[in-house]
Amino acid sequence: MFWNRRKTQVNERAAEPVWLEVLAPFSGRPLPLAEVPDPVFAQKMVGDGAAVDPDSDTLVAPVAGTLTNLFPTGHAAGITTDDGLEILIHIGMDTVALKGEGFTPIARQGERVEAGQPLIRIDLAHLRGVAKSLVTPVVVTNQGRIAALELVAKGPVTSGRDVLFRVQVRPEENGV
Amino acid sequence: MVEQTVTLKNRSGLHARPAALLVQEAGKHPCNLWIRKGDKEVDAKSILGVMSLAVGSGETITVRADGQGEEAALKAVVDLIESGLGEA
Repeated sequence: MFWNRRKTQVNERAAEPVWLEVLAPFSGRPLPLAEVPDPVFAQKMVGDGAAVDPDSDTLVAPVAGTLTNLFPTGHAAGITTDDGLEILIHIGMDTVALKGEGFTPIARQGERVEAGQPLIRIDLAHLRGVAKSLVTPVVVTNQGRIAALELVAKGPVTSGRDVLFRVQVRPEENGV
Repeated sequence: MVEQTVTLKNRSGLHARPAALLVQEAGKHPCNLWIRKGDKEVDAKSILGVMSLAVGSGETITVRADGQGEEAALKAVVDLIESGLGEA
């Protein structure tokens, strides 16, 4: 048995798991994805991750990477990490219908961003009045690259400082 | 390789929900699938890619399929887009 265990340990070291920590994009209350009031997100159709019900007015990058998408409407952003994970941050539900009203993009699409860097400013008071929900899911959209995912945040989170969830990255396969 | 041009009918364009439905359908097929708008082409199996085209309602896109089952894949994706992607 002892021999077996040692062998396992060696194998584990050979394939060191890579965990990516995903920070809270807003300050506020963390929610598991299943509690997001939109089945497309709750059922993980867009990706797997977690959400925050915001009480701050600036969306920050939850991870470092390339800002591959900053939607003209300012209601969503996409970041591709150096490991090739695609992270989508979607502010609120059905907010695409607001056509940019209440959202002010700060960063530029295509630029390199660091975790915690401000991306979009929102008019929180205004949006609370007009949006169906401001719950903001943060999801890894290429789910084939997720080996494991854990919700880390238990209580209220501070944007850019507290870890919302962490994801174990599966190495990219050839041709995928 | 096969391709077909289709006009997006759903009311709010290819944002998160319709993009998720489209990518989910694309992912069922073993062949490679792309979507093109203007001179930009993206992997139809990537949500971020599809959303980055920012296709609006009434805009025209081209779906391209290449590989095993390409005909069936192209038809399935085009039919889904023409059906309005879950939106009337």
